[in-house]
Amino acid sequence: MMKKDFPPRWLESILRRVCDPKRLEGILGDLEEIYEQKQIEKGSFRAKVNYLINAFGFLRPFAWKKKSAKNNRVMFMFKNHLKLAVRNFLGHKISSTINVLGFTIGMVSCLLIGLYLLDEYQVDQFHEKGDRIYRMAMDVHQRNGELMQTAFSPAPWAPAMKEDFPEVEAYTRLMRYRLEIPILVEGTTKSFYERNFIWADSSIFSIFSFPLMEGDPKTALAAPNSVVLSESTAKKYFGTADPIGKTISYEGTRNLTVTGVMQDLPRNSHIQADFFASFSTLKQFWTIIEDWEILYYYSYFLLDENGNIEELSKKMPDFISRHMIAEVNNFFKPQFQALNDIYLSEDRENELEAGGSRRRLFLFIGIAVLILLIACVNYINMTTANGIKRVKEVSIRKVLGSGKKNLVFQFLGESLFQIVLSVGLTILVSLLLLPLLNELSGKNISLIGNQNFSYFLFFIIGLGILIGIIAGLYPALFMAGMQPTQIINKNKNTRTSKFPLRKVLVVFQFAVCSALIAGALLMSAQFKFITQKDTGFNRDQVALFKLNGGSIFSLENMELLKAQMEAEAEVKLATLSSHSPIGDQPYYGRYQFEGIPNVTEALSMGRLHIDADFISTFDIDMVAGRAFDKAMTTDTSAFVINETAVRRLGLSTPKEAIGKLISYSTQGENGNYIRRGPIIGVTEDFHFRSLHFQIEPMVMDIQPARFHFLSVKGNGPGLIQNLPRMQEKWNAILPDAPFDMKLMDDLFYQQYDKERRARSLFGMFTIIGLLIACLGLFGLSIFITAQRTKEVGIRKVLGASVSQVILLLSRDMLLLIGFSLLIGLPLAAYLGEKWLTQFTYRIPLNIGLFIWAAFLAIGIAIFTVSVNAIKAALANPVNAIRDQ
Amino acid sequence: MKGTHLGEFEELVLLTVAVLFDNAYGVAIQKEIKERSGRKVSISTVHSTLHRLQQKGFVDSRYDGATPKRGGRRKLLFTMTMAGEKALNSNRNLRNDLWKDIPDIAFKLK
Repeated sequence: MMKKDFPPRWLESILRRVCDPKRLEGILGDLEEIYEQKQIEKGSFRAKVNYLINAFGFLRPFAWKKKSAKNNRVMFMFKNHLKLAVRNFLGHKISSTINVLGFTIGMVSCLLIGLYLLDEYQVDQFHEKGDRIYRMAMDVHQRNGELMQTAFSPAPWAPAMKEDFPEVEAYTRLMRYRLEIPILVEGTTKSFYERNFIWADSSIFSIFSFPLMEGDPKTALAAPNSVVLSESTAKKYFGTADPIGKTISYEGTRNLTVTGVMQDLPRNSHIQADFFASFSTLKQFWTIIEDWEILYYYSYFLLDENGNIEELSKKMPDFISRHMIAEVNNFFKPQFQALNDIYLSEDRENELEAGGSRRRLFLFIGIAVLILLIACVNYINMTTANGIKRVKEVSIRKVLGSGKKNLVFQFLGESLFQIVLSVGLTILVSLLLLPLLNELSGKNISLIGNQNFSYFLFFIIGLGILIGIIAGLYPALFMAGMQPTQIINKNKNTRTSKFPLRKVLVVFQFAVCSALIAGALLMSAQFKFITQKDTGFNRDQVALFKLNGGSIFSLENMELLKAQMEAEAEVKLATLSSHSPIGDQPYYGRYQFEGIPNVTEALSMGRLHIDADFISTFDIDMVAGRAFDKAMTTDTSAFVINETAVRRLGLSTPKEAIGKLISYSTQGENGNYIRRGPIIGVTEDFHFRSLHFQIEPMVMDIQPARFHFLSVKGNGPGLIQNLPRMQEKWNAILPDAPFDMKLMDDLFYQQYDKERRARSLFGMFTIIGLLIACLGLFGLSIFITAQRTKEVGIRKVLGASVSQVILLLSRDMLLLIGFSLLIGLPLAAYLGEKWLTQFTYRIPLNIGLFIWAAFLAIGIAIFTVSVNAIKAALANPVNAIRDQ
Repeated sequence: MKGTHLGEFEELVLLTVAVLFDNAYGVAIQKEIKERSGRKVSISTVHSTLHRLQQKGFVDSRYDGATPKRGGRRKLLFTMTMAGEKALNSNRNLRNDLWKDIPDIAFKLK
């Protein structure tokens, strides 16, 4: 019975078909014998695999049924098909070029998009225990009914969860301060601002697969004041010297000993760190670490093999009640995210790094497929159009006894030939264009020398086969199905070509193209809108200096620096503030208001600490009251709020807010204290965050202890040229601190990098799609014009004008294009509207934009079609009529 | 008919066919080569070499009687022809001549 199981019949029949019958029995017998032997030695499965490998070894020429006449005929047909394919290719140079170009462009776009997708999906996939790692994020239901979805969680939860839940094998907490941290090396002048400085529990290296090159992964971060550097960071700080045991200084105050060096974290990780410092250090100075409700940390859990995250999350309400009070459950809803899911799911607030987005991926997959379809449509149109010319060839073949199957294979072979050519070109072009993709997407994808290359080959071959089926099959069946009798009424058939599929396909192509054009215009308009909207403050000529870093920046130093900067001729104004008005995280406080009806509870509002020059430096308008004034000493306990805050308080005019009292608890040098004072002014709303976010209510006061930034407004365009002198002044006052200056304008545009990239990618693919479609249209118009050469000649002889002829030749096409706009533009409007809803501040869908898109699409189509029409119209009619 | 040159692996296979005399079929040849030289060759390579040898006229093939093993299939047995023997001999003579003519000093230089 075993013997009947194996070898499978299909395999035997392949061999039977291919192999020389004289040796077949011997070969099968040998295979069987080896199989029986292997089965005894290594078991059934290995034996079967082995059999397969051996059997495929026989698929080579020596074993083929060479001498048989039938076989010869197949080989001959194959050669003949190939020859015909080559001849046909060379004979129709224009349509062949259009086809190959179209396929190539389509496949290149698909391929590059595929590589991009692959890269996105590989993020965080390298962790060995990745399927058991989860992050606890938090949904916070605020008292005002708003839902905040943050990636943060409180610090004490994770250790308590490990205590309480046996399935939690390990946890690690990460903390990154919102600002860049100055790191100094003792005894040298080296100092850098570091963004990727992360505090982490010692278990980090046993949970995540971040390999250490030096140091013990188990103990490197066990002791307080230890730090692990990445390889390149170690080089940056210590050169070639051994970094282990060396000391770096955090903000110039806290010495950390280097206990390990890790490999640079891979780019495709949602955690990007140059430093991991021991979390236990934080206890020494970070007082809020014991707080069960402060969200500022990232908690990752490693479950054991039997752990089930759903069950764990069901236990959380009970956990919260046990450790805090049950009421907290109304506000805090912990959310567990699988590690592999963090990057591609929609970003929460306070993410470590901005993630990818599935929605964007789907958009690009959609575009890639559409472009490929446009290219396939071209092929179908061109081949069937040309096919009508080949009716004679097909008829004669049929008359001579060629079967339909044979003809189908012949035409399939022809498309295959063109596809193989395009595949070759595609590989070349993709390799050339890869740097461009990296540039546009901000990635660093490489092909050569890694596993991507095998994916790449696999993908491109798959693509070739797919295209062959989509594009090749229909024309092959169509042509093979032509009847010999068509020869007789050939003229009637081709003249008016009632072939509706071609029309449908052209309409499809241009519907897609017009939708793409409208989409690209829409994205551009929205991008322009968010980058040019008045943000409520003036960032022109403003430079931002970071002054963050503990004791290096004493208040005296900061004030001195500010005064020195202001003394410069090129500097108009300077101001100190707790936050940068661009590209910073929001910060909230709970404010108690007095004397406002209906507001009794403390309200959470944005919190900003500024000095008296902030409002004038940024040209923020006051709608009521006045700004802070240096001359008024009482202003140090006064408040300025924004219009949104006034609305939140339920007041009808900003004036009513003036004089109302605010109090809130804040941390000073001697611990927490209550700060209380009147509202002296109301500013116009300004965008503290990017336009992705709604303007929030904002409370501003003067609190020098919290200043972290110095903004300097230039007086004309001389600010940048003055940079070296500024640095001198800086170094004189703050020799230890890294000099770091950025232009507000650059920071502003950085916020919209993602949109800018999406816009350029989309624009590029629109152009590509359009290009392919135009190629197709061009080819088709050549064909149609050629069909009607004689008609045009006769019409001209009878007195038709050039313009009449052009109209005659282009009319059908343009009607189709017009029709396709009716499909494409509403579709674009629908999808565009959906896309726009993700923006808080958005443009309305505007008719003008769609008219533009229609205009563009028609213009391009007219240009493409009329080139041939004009040529035909201008030609001497004699040449057209003469040859009969 | 192709040329009568005998390649290195062909020679090995041909010698094995001669050694196995009356039992020279695919698997046996493959086994013998592996045991004697340690070379792992696939069964299809053996067959393809035998095919070439046959085209050059160095081996003949025939089927022997069916056996219960091998799924009841007969073995395709190969035997060396006169031409094969000649080719082996001329190869050997060539080698011997070459060996003889190596000056002693060439070995001593090592």
